[in-house]
Amino acid sequence: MIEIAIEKRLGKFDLSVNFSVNKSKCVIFGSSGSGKSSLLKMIAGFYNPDYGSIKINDRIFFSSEKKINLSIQRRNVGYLPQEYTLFPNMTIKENIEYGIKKRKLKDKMGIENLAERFNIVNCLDRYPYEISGGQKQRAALARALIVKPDILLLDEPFSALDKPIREELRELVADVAKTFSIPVLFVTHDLEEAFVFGEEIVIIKDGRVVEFGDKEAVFENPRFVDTAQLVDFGNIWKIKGFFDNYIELENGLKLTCENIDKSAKYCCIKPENVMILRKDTDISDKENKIETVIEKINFRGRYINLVAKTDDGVLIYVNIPPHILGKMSLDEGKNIIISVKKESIVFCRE
Amino acid sequence: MKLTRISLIFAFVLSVFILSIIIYGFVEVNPRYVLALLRDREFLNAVFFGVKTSVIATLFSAIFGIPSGFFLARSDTFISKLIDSFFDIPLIIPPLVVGALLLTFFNAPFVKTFYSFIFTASGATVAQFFVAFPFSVKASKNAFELISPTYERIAMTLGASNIASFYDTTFKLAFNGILSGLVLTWLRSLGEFGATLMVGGGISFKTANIPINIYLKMTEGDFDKGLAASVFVVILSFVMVVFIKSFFKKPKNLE
Repeated sequence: MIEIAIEKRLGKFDLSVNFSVNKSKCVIFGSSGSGKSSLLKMIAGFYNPDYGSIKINDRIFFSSEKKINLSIQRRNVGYLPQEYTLFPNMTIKENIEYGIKKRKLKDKMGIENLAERFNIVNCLDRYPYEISGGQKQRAALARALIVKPDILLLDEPFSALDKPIREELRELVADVAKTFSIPVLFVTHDLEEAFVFGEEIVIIKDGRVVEFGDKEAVFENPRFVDTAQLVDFGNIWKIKGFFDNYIELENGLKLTCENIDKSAKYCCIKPENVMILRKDTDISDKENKIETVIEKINFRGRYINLVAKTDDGVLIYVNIPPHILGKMSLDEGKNIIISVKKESIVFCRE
Repeated sequence: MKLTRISLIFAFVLSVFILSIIIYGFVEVNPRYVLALLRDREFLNAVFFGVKTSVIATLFSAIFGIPSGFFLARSDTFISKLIDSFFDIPLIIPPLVVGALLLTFFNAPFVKTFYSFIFTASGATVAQFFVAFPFSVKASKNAFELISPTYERIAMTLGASNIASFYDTTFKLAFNGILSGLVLTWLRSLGEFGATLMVGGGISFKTANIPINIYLKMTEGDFDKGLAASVFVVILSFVMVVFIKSFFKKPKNLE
């Protein structure tokens, strides 16, 4: 249980954050400079908010009202940043032992067991500069876990690593969070990482929480247009008018919809929810058919991003799996008919 | 030609310049006079006096300089920048002027009644401290600036007290840089002339350190002895630096 309501002025930047989450794997997602890292540092106690309160697992870390401010040592958090993690003047073993010695704990887990589980046994007698980036972060994670923290705070710890190692470590974190039953607060600017890891998501933009809640709700059905932008809704269009069973957009498109939310200002559609129709089949029952020309084809690795353009010059973004490209012999300049399903239209407020 | 090659020429010229004056000094010196220094009570007294005052001055530089350097490294306020530029003053004004200012200050009635610094070993020590402590501050500042405060913070999350977390991480990691600053401070104090002469008076057997002793020898027309003492100082400094560097073994390096 994490309950945070704080305000902090950092130079010219105002951080004003208010949210509460319950699940054991939470992600704070936002672009760089959104204040997510500062938020994590205030939870750890590296510096204090100007006002407000921080409550983790029913323990009040900070409260300006009740004049509570626990020291870093007493907060008992595990903190793992992207760099400057392991102490360079100690071996990996000394690094991992550090917390046990300082907290005068008995090493119940056993360094050897932990090292084996984290696959760093052959690194124990080496210095941080002698091992790889992935091994370093593994060791840092082991060092944080061995003192049994009440919460793990991860500040983009794997961003500098290669993708396969990043994925492996993310899975390791998910695994230890479960077996040691330690809640994790994971800060990231990587959409995929946020989606894969988080059970609950806090979306933060320009020092403010835009939206928070269960992953599915936030990613598939965002309530605010800022969230839609951050979670990759490629097609975000301003609504001009509402009618019984359709809406009219400022760009001239008319879309048939259901469950129209008249308080919304935007309609948003994920590029992967836009379909390209095959002309040789019966398409009479398809909704919201739009005739377009392929303006551009962008290769994005695991998928292909098409930019389709209507006669009126409206751009529609479509994501398709790579094999579709050859199958439908799509090419720049080709005419295609696309379709937007009613249920994939999401209404967002400003 | 590559830029590194071109710059090598300049570095080579400088090295030749340094080496030639040292080598010529060694060639010219009469070894008998160097050995005679070991029986020269006036010189030995100056060595003892110089080492004593410079070690004390370095000690005080460490006590005041290391925390000051830490403050300057971590603080980024107008005050810290102002203080930082204060510490440049002893470096940019000639040591003789520092000596003259100290002499004037020590002559002030409110200081005089409290303690008489003039023509004493304490006066000479203060003079050396003044001229040399900025080296400790600057080296400490530079050394601390290279160490991210993240290490200390992580140590605190692992239960280390504020002081222990600083000592175990930042201080140990910065130690090499601090030490080289202290060595510089010490060598500067040991070779200090102007301010020490002004405040201490440069009295033989009382407040003369090595450079003053050499100066006195030269002004008395004793060039051979003066050169012998100079060569001796070159050897001594070199041996000391090598000794200190090997004594404090380089700790395992940064990431």
